[in-house]
Amino acid sequence: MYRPGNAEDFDRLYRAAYPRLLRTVYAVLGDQGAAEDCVQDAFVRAFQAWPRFRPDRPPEAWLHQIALNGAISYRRKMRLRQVGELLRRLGRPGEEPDPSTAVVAGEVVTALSRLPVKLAAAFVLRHYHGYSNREIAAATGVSERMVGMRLAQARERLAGDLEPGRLPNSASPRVPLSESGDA
Amino acid sequence: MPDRLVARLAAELDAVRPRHPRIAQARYRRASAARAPRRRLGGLATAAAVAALSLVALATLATGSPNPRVWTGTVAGELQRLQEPSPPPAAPQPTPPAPLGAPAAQDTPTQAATSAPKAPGRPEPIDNSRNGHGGRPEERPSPSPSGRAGHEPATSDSSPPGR
Repeated sequence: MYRPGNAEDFDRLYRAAYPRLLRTVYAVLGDQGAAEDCVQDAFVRAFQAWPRFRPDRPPEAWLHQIALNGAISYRRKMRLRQVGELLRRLGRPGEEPDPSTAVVAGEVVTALSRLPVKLAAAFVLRHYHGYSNREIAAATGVSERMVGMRLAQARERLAGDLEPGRLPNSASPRVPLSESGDA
Repeated sequence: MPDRLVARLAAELDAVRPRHPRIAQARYRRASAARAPRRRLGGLATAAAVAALSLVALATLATGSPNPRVWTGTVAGELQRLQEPSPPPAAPQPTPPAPLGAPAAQDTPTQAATSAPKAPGRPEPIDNSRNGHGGRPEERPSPSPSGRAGHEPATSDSSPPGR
């Protein structure tokens, strides 16, 4: 039981929830550095709101909601930044990313990070964390029916993305299907 | 959904190791620690503002004016009044005459012996206030040619009054 406003309880919540939150946001963003940043920011915001936390709510679902909102904002910012960089680079030779510094995500995480945040989050919460639809609804702030619809949509799109022969949808698959061992 | 995909997802996510798992590395800890001095400063500023407002309210109530110039004038006046010598105390009330034959309660025989001969020899103080004049006897208005004392024309005086 967590007491709202109690700093020790919040520390306990951080220890329990941080790794799980990080993995959810990492699956949504596909970038561990960005995921760490989002989750740390989410904890800062949660700590500020901790005195007003309602104990009848599952605390981890509450934290997930804050972190996923942060992830949505992060993705939006990244998209705008990419558009800005594209406009800036018009007419110049493109710079190749340094492969030694790039943190490569797995194939499933890469496919998940291409999905809308809400679909990817529902999928990870259901199939990795084992949340029920009700808990996902609490974490994402939608109805259980909407959660069911999102899960079905996420499965369909993931299957299409990871299925052999349909990967050309992705711009540059990191691992060829023949080497992945799952084909 | 095939279990294989879920297993691959689990393998990929389990491989993620948090870089800041310790409480001491948590950003909210640093943020709250950095905010503490600001909170203290904010509290001090609030206390100072409340004290200043109370002073203004007190000064306004005491002087009846919200103008600070009036406050300073009032304070200066009060200070001047306190620095002036206090007026002489009022004359003591005459004690009722003691009954005949009763010994004086406070006077010792020696004091009575020394004070008794002096009393007749002491000159009576002249009370000028009784004659209705109020001033010293030698201060008499000099007769003016026109017969109107104190109403000379200002042109005849080289130094006008008030300068």
